[in-house]
Amino acid sequence: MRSGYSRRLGGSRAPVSVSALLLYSLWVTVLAVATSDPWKLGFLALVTGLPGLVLGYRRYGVLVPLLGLSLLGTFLNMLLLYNVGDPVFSIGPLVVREEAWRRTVSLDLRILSLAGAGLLFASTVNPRDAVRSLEVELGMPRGFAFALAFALRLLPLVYRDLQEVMAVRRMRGYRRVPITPGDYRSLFMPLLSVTVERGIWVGVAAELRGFSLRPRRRVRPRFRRGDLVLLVLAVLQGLVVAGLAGP
Amino acid sequence: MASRRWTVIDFALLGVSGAVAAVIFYAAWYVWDLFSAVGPLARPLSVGLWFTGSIIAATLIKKPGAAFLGELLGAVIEAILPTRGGFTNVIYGVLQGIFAELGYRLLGYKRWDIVAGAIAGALAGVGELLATLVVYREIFQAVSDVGSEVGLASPGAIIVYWLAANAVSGALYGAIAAAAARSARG
Repeated sequence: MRSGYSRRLGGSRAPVSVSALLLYSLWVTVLAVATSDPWKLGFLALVTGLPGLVLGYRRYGVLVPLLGLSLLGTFLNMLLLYNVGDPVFSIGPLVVREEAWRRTVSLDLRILSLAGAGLLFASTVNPRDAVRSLEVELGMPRGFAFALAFALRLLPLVYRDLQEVMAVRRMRGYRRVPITPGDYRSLFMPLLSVTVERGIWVGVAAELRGFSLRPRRRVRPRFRRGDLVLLVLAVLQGLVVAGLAGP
Repeated sequence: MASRRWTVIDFALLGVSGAVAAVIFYAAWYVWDLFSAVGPLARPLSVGLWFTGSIIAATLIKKPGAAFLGELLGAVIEAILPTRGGFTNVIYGVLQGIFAELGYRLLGYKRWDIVAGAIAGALAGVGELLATLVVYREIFQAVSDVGSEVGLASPGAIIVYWLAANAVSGALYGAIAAAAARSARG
């Protein structure tokens, strides 16, 4: 499990701190939501979206084609809903008009920026380091951080339980792919029951080990060289979106 | 009523609801794509799946704040996993969580049954609409403009449709989530 994360950030020698990367990704998300200007969104997509997609493709390859489908879906929806104005270009007999094209470009560039910012963080940071950073550096409440860490730990266990339930279903002659509501009920209820039971006992064990009495630990985030690059990029993108620099 | 103070067991159950919600939210993207293929106006009917985090957490924990934190936690994990929405999931999580929490608040934090789940799910739809108006305003604008252009509906009517579809979808999935969580907790 650990080896899968070995190339991710989080160690003391990592060039960028986890909290700085998280704040950077959140900042780009806010900027992408704030503007509708295609040029400004294009700048965000170029500076953050594209590197995020390239890094994300290595680890979450399946997301990139799905993202492509989303972009195509946006284009088709806008074509269906808003194909008015002067012609921009045509694909065979289909004429794409100004409004459809302008709105598609804006929305798709925003989607690229948002997905890229998320992938930039998710593909370079170990989730456990992210939780630790959120708690000790950024002050996330301890109970919520515990719930988040526990949920991340539970995900592979839920997957393993799902495989077991599926295997038992096959042995009992149920259909492989659940179709009816009854199928889904017989699939998910055992999973939920087991997971809830596990949660209760983990809570009891943590309480018995004095989780509530554990002193709160705060660490001042250490500034690293890579953080300066992120800071410069964040300021630059902020200036462009605010209209103080760039196109 | 039992103590409203959160214990470690409550936070562990919050983690359980977060993990379950994250799996549902992840799968919901595919359901969303399926509904999107039908058309933009069919999309809101699938969004109720994204409100189930708050209902599962509230039904399992039965304490004030559980609905909000459950929705937020599911959204944070959805962003970390990651999904196509990136960190906008957190914006949705916050707004949907606030409105789902409002549902339980209106019931005085005394009911945690299927009806309460349906009400909280329906109200979470208001949060979804607000988040979509902020994050993907172009989609809404296009739907609204076309609705008025073809004489089918005014922008106001589109908002009412959007809200109603969210509420129906939220109430349906909310009731199912509450029933499942009650059954699992025993």
